Amino acid sequence: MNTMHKYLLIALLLASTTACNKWLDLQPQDGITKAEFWKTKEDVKAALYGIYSSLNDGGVEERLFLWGELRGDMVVPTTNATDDDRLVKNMNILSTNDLSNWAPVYKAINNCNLLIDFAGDAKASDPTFTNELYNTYIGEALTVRSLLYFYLVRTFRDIPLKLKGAYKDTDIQSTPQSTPEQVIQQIISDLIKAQEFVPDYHEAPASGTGGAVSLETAVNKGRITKPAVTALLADVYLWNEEYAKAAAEADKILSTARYRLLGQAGLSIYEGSTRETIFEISHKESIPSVMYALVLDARKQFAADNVYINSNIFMPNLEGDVNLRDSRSEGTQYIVGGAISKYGIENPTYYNFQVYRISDVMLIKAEAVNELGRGAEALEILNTLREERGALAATAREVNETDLEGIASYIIEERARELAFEGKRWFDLLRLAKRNSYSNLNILVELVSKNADDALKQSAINKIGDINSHYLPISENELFRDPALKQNPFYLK
Amino acid sequence: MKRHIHFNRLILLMALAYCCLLSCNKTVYRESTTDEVNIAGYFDKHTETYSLFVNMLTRAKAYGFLSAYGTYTVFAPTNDAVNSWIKDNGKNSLTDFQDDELSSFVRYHIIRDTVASLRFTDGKIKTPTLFGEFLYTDVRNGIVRVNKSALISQMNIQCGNGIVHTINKVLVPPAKSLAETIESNPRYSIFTQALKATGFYDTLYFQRGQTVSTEKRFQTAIIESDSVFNAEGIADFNALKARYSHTGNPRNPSDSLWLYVAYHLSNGGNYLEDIVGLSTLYTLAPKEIINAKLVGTRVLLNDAVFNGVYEPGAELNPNQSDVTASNGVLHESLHTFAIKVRAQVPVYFDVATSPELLTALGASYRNANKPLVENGASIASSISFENYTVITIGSNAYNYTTSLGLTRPYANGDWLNLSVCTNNANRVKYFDLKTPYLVKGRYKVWICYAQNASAPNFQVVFNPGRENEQILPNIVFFNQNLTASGVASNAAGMGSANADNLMLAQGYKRYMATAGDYNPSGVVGGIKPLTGNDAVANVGRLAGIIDVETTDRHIIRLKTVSGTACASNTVWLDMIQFIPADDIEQIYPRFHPVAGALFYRPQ
Repeated sequence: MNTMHKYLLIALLLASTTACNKWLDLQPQDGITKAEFWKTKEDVKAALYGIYSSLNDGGVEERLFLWGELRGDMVVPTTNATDDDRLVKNMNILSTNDLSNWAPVYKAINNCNLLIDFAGDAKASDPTFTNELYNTYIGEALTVRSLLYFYLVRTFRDIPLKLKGAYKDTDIQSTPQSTPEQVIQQIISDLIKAQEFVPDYHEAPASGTGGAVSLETAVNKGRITKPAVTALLADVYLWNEEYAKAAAEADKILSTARYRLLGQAGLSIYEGSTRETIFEISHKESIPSVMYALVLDARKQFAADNVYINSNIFMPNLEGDVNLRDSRSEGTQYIVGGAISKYGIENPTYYNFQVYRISDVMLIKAEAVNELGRGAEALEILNTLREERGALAATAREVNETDLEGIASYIIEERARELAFEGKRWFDLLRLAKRNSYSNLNILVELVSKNADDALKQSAINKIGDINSHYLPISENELFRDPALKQNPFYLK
Repeated sequence: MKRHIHFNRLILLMALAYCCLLSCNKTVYRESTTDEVNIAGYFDKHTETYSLFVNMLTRAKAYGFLSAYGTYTVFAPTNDAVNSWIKDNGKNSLTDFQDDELSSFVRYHIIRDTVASLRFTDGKIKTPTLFGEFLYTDVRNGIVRVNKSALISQMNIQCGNGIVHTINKVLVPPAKSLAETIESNPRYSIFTQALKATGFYDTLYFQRGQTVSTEKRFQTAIIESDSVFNAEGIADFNALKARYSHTGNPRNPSDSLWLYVAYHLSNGGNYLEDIVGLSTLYTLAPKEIINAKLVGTRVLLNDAVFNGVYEPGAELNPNQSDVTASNGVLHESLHTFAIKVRAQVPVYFDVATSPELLTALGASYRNANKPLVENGASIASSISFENYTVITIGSNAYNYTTSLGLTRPYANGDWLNLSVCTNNANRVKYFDLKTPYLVKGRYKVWICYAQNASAPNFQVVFNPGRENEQILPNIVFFNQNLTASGVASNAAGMGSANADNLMLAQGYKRYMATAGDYNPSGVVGGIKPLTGNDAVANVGRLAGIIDVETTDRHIIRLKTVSGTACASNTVWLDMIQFIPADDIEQIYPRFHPVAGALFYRPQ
């Protein structure tokens, strides 16, 4: 063998064994790594907008709508819906049911957590990043996270409370579930903090011609403001049966003239950014709302149960003036045939998803003061709202101001009319049912005996008696991914 | 040279070593498509829970097929369950049982189908067990129960060849037949005697191994307890016999006591859920049926409005119902019920007033227009369309007007405004209506409509697709007015005294209030003239005669057969009248837009 060849061979062998680490150590060219991000206040602002766009990209709104309406009585799955959706109506839910998919919500929560974790890095490196601005961003992220956890805890009860962001695979850690009390306490303390952090306005309002009420831009509706934090906090207190605190928070909003009822309901209120809106998931000049495909399209999966609603929620006058109509009834929030029109009637639709409006806060206050024994005050609020909306005599309840239980039911009925199809119905009924250690469980029994098919009525009634069944199962996929998660005992059998 | 050799060796060695570095480990390929175990495999893996059941399966020769390909559902009792069952039988271990004792009823735990919990209802599992009898499921305190005894502790264990549900009690097939179940319950002593006296005891008696015809293999009995009889003033069997048996021989099929008992029995093993789903039970009494419906959560029998009068029904006692016997199901009624002897009465069916449609219309009834199809389904079960996918399905509507116009008034002010035709893919071709109760007998069927020049032609079919389907001979031309009868709309024709008889002879009639009719309610306005254009557009057309075999609500189908015009909303159907065929009064009463105002033959 030629010596030359031998040396060549050795060189070749050596060359082939050395690794070229430099080649592989490349930064991605179509993205930014964490090391390059979180440098300036603009980075944090971009992350904040990322949070809002994870709210309006469809997944979250669909979850909020379905969790709040599918187990209620006002929305029915159409022939285009999946079997999973119909099984929900029969209380025949397994852990494989798609309704238990919480991925879009936790994804948005992770975006909030990342901002909360890393905004400090940007603050340290950007001297123009003021304390005030920093607090605003943190406060908004805390509030959005709290809002989403509030939906999760009411839907699943025992949920993993993830408060740290995950930006790489190794960050993902198994998180055992917290008790609902822990979650609610976390939400309350976050919101109290956020109230200090978030300003009343993101853009100062122009002075209105009337002087007293000022015109404000849509930014103050689509981003979290201090009243938005307060509205959510009032709602959380109400759920947690802390009525004095709920009323106090609601008063903070109601005592100002910033938000006002606009009288008769029309589509413009549901389109959003009116004086009624406190917080909404915005679609204006952004991406279209997912709701068109869900509730309006010819092949919509869900529809209003008109037959039921027209005879139980919006009863027409049978005496007096029979031609009067409630401004929120058929033709406004929903139309003949079952399509839900409050999310817009054009394709695509850019209507904003209403999260809190002034009417919601009024009803929260009414419910809270009623539980505190102030029935007359609750009725006064109810009557103000009903008068503005043109509610019919047929839907008025003759209740005495000392009949607190009667008023409580009346408020829930009014919420059904005012906040129809906004993902609130089931939670309203559940809140009423669970009050005073489930003294109103019969409400849910009636609900499922209306919802379930004849062949499954008895089963459904029997299942709803188990309070664990009021919460959805942890999805099979999540159980597989995280062995620390414990399934709701109702679904273990 | 030696050095060279060494050097060569060194290079070779290095090359070899390098090759070794490169050589890959042998990849282990999966040779099976799945590592999911079969049902038998699953039991083997969990011997601590299922070893005794496996032992039973093996001895019953059922273990083999559970380890092979197939689709099975197994209700697997735990070892604790099997042990307590052994004890209950007074034995010490499985070895004390004979093989054939085990083999038959181990198969009671196996269904040759995959039945996940999502398919359980408040009733039987629709596929029978390998034992040949059905299992019953319901829910108590949030837990699914099988045969009202065993609780499912773990549902839906997926295996390669089916599903396992773990249960906490051995399932034992019911030992008694329906006859014995009734007899052994002291609460049913009067009915037991009635069964024996009429001979139906033998009908309901069954012993496993006995050959019976398929339709009699499972039966349903709905019976009254002694206390229900007592409350009705029937103290004992003799009182029952005295009340019903008019021939004195209860074994005679024409004896009323025989019919009374027969009316409580029906073929087919029907649980409450099935009864509600069927809505009609054909009893052993010839041509007599029981109607069942669910009101809220109560099951009511024969609860109906009959000829305008509400007849409260008999409620079933849910706690004493759904009792499984070896050859059927036993239910208990909280009230007595019997065949009602009814005389044929004319039924003037305003098509918008079936109870189902009334409920669905709610406040729209006699108030506002309303679509009949919403969310891709009919709003009422009493009206259905050929399909719900055609574009114009949403245009089918209930209409109402308060107008007292003369050209096209409608009985009670309302009518069905439909889009039906035969030669347009965008419209349905037929629709079905559920009639009010018709007492058995022969009826003339009058289709009452408002004429529209673009309307199609209909053939009327009674009970379409059923055994006693009847196609009515006369085609009803919805585009024709009363002059199609050959009687002109002038004074010499429809204005003459004999006009009604001439039209009747051709199968036409005026069904709306007409000048000269006796008007006891004193309504003013909306009364059609005898002649002219306003006289002709409301047509009552005889479609033919039907033979109603059972007193029940039936289906009547209006099916387009021809007609070139095919605009939408041209079919204006007002009423369908069923008048006993031998009733000489086929014309009166006539109707009026004001609800309840009836017009009679001039006195």
